[in-house]
Amino acid sequence: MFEAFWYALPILVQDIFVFLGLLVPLAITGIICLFGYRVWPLIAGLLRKHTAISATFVLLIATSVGISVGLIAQERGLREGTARAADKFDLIIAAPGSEITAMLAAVYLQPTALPLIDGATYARIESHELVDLAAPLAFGDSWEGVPVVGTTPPFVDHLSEGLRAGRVFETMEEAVAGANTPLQVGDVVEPVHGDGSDDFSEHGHPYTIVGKMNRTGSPWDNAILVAVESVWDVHAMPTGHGPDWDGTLGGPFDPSQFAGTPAVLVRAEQLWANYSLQSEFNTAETMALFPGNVLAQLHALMGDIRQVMSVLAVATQVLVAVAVLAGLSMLSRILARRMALLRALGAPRRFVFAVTWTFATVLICLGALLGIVFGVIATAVLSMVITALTDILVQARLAWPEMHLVAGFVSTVAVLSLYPAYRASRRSLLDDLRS
Amino acid sequence: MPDLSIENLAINSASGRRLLDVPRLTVPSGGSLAVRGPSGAGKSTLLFAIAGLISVTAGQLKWGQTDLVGMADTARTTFRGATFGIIFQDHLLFEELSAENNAGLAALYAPRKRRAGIGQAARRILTDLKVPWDDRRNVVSFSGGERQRIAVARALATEPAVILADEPTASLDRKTADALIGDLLGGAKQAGRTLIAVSHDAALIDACDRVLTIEDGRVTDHV
Amino acid sequence: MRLFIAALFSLIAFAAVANEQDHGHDDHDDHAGEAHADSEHKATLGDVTLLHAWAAETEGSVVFVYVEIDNEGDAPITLLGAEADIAGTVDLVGFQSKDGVASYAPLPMLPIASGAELTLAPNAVAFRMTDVTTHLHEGDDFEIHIIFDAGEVAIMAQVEPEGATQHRHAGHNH
Repeated sequence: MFEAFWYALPILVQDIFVFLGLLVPLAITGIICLFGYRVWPLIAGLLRKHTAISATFVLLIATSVGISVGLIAQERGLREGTARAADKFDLIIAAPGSEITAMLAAVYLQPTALPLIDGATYARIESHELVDLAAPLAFGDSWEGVPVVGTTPPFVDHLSEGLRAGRVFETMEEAVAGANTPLQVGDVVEPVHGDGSDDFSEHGHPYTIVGKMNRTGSPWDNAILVAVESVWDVHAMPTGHGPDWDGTLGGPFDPSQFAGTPAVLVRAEQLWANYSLQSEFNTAETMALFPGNVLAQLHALMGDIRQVMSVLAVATQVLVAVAVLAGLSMLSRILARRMALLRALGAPRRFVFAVTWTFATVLICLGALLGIVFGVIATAVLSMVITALTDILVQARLAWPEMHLVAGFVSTVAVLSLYPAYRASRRSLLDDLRS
Repeated sequence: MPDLSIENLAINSASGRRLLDVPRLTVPSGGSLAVRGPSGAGKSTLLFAIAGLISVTAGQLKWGQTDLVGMADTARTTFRGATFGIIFQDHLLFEELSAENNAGLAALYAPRKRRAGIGQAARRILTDLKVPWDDRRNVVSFSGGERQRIAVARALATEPAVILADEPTASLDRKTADALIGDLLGGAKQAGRTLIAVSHDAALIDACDRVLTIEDGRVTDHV
Repeated sequence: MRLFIAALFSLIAFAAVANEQDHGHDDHDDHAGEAHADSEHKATLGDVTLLHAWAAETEGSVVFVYVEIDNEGDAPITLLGAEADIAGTVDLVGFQSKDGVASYAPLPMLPIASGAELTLAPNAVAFRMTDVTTHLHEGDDFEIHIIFDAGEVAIMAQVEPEGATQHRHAGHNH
């Protein structure tokens, strides 16, 4: 009954309930501790009196909470970012091998040597009735570290959904630049073979940039796209077209003149058609993969890594909590004389206990709140750094899982703080009073 | 109002050394007793024992029918809160609180129905003692005399049957000290309140009904 | 710096390989004692072979069912859906990722070309059973009717442990 009720609730309501549920131990402990007492004037006084040491505690807790929260949000942001970067790549067909390698090469433009798909296979893909868009993706060359990929004009339209500036390449001497490249329309680039690191061999084939793509949030933002025919041409291979070719770039290609491509992007309008194509082209000669699908499997595996990470995050939090509690014991020594005085004046032990616990818990709560602020800042900074490093647009934001972590942390430490509070209430009154 | 009666009281330190022997002492309800003697003679020990703040090794220490010897700690704390107003040698105020909150400190942990009474009493006594408490500033900024009077107000705010004071005039100039003695004793007489004060101050000692002299842990004179 | 992504993915790839090896190991251990149950894992409809139907144990009322379908015939065949007694409805769904968010969308049909093999698997194509009334435990099995344009075939689906990613005999040719 409860299960049915629970699953019928909107996700947001569930999240709020979980959040509040995690705070219940804090609330219950607080109510029991504070019942019948007015501790706030003393707490406010103690915070004023021990500003420096209180601020140190709050900062310590805030830093730890901020790092944990930031990392978790970042991990999710990275997952979403990598998936978003693959959105445009419905189906990739490559020669049989590692799906991950093919995906890394085609979607994330990681330099890899892949076996080639031949003209007959390409023709079969291109002419398939379910295929709405097929485009060769021929990588291997680069310009100043920026990958140069040979493909067809329709792929540029598909990837960029209209250009930010200029037009798509129309000849073998023209190129389109990704949004993050330093290139502008009119610039001339001369790619080299490979990534340009070992043997610096210029092809002697300059390209003029005639267009610039919109931002895609993927490594393709830092790439140069050219006609696949020109890639074949500079490598002294047939250009994919017969002798009576009129110079119009792109398919259909002549299978006998097709020099091969490491990967083919295939797109069908309908999801079912994509899956049907995948089953059809998963053969001995070709491998068909959904990058989204491969990523999801990796993310599922990464779930294990994530669990390890969360365990580490929790372990870190526990260590910080232990440090906080050790600090609280020190703090209770600082407060000892006042607490002894309270008891000498007739205040019950439970009042001393309540004051010590509340003081600790106020510091923890302030630290957790500030930690969320730190987390937001850390997340924004890390996202910017990762986006700059990888060209994968990472937009990490704090969300409910992080709030749940913080609530759980606050409740746990608040309950653990009962121990130093208990110790504080059991100290020898007279020693402290006379010290 | 309870009388204090002590018989064959012995108090040892944690290491077993005898700190104090008091064969016999009684203070009737509403009476006043000054305890004098050199430093370290055991005066404060006696005062703390009377307050139930330290455990007695042997003998009897009764407030009326209540025997503090062998009483559980919780019960002693409750009894202390209900019976005594304690004034410590060096004020022991909460410096970060206002004069009003210091004087009415017991309201923070007293049962809800007593809170308002304690607060009112605290304000009235502060006014009587001429402590400027209206501006709510922290007691850090108050003079030594003002602080001592705040400590007195704190002791009186719970309207205790007994005032226990450790060198209440030690940090005060003569004029302030005399005024305080007047307040403590005059108030005590009026309200039928018992006063037990440890002091070197001849003016305070002379003003009390009886004087107990302690030297090296023993009662050497009892007038 | 592309090294960063490379490092990230090689870590994942390593985990993937390690995971594969684990499965491979389990397969052989489990299989030795269960060879007699082969027939239950397999069903045929003409030239179409269905193998290793399975689902993962779950607390919820939504259960995903996976199976390997091999069209060895000369003509394409179209997968239309499925039915199961233990479920209110069964949908043929396909995994998709949009704007970084993964979901399953219903597929009206799925043509399987002649000679092609379709593997229904987590994060790909699956039958989504909703309103499942029976709580499925590891080791249970249940019948599912799989519907093609050419007809309908029943197969017993095996319940694998929670979080399983494939049938325990995956990779074996029966």
